[in-house]
Amino acid sequence: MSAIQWKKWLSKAVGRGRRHKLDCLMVALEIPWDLMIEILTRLPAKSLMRFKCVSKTWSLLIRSRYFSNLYVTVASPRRPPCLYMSLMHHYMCDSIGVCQSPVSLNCYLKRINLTMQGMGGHDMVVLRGLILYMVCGKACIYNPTTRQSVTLPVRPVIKFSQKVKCCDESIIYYFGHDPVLDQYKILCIASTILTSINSLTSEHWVYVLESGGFWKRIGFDCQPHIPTIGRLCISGVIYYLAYVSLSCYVLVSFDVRSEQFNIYEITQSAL
Amino acid sequence: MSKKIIFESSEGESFEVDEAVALECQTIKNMIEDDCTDGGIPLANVNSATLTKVIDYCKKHVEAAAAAEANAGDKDIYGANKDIELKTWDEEFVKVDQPLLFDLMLAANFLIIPGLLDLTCKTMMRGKTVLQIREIFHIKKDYTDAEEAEVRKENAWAFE
Repeated sequence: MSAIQWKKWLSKAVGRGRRHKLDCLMVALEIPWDLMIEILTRLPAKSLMRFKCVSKTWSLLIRSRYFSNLYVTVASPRRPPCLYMSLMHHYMCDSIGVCQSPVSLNCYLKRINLTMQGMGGHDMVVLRGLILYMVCGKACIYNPTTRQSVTLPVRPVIKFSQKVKCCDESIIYYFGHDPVLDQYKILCIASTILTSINSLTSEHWVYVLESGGFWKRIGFDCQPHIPTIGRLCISGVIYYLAYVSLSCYVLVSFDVRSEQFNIYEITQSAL
Repeated sequence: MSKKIIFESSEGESFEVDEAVALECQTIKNMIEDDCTDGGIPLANVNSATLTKVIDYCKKHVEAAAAAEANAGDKDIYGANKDIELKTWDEEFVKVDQPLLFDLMLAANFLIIPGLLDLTCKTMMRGKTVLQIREIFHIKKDYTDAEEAEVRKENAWAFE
């Protein structure tokens, strides 16, 4: 249910709801919906997951995007930051091919470095309480609050040219949120250095995180560059560092809503 | 001598508190800033018993904040006060019967006292089973048994 639908539904529900009449009975409580939502946003995730069983309305509320957004923004000082780490059995697998072995994802509190440079790997991006990580060349999104994960479909592979020998392909995923449309998007940049013609080529793909989502190739008419994993998303714009030659870095911005790139030169002193 | 604010409960009883204590309530803070607190603030939906508790809570938290300021070094890495004594006090504070807890929550919501709202909400729901929640809030079960089992299965870890 979208935020707008939910709000409409909510205003109806609130309109219908009578103010509570409290008598001395233990269980005679009727609560206005807006206060009920206030209460629920203050609960630990575990209780919320349990309370999805209370009624369909509660389940609908707790699952809604409207509620999730409230939950991440509510100023509750008593929600301590958590450290999540995922350990995967087959971490050496960084190919595009589909790995048949089952993924086991466990959360541990352990001191272990999982940020591996380069392709595939375990490169994790955290955004608004969600974790995007890689396994077997596939992007997965894990929600530590609900302990649910989604594996995105494999991006279609376009070979640049069968004759050209690819010497180094780098695939990096970026995770962005557009606050206006309240939409999550995953950007995938596959860049290849073609040895025979000694130049860079790159493909750009976008996946809108919603049911029925698919990888869509987007046009790119800026200077070719090799992106790095230094990245973050601020107010609907993904920023990352990339190099256009061995010694020259640029800052690239990607507007999550309009899907437009922009390149900014960086002076050496800024680095 | 600090400025006093007068609250009037739903029964018409007057409660005089220091301005600093009243400032804990965001709603009252706005009224004080707008300078419309003369002649007392009628709180038609808060009864005397609840108001007494609310004032106790605000007083305690104002004192605690002042004490914490005096030894400001005592903060954890997130900037929160490691005030165990206050936590214990809070826990004792909400050991009340369900109707009063409910009134406190409504009052905290109406007066906008984030700390108290947080505390009462959590206390009210803590450790409650799905059945208890339905009972407390008069919610009819609209799932079939099979549907409920399905939802339960989805988040089996939460029932452990």
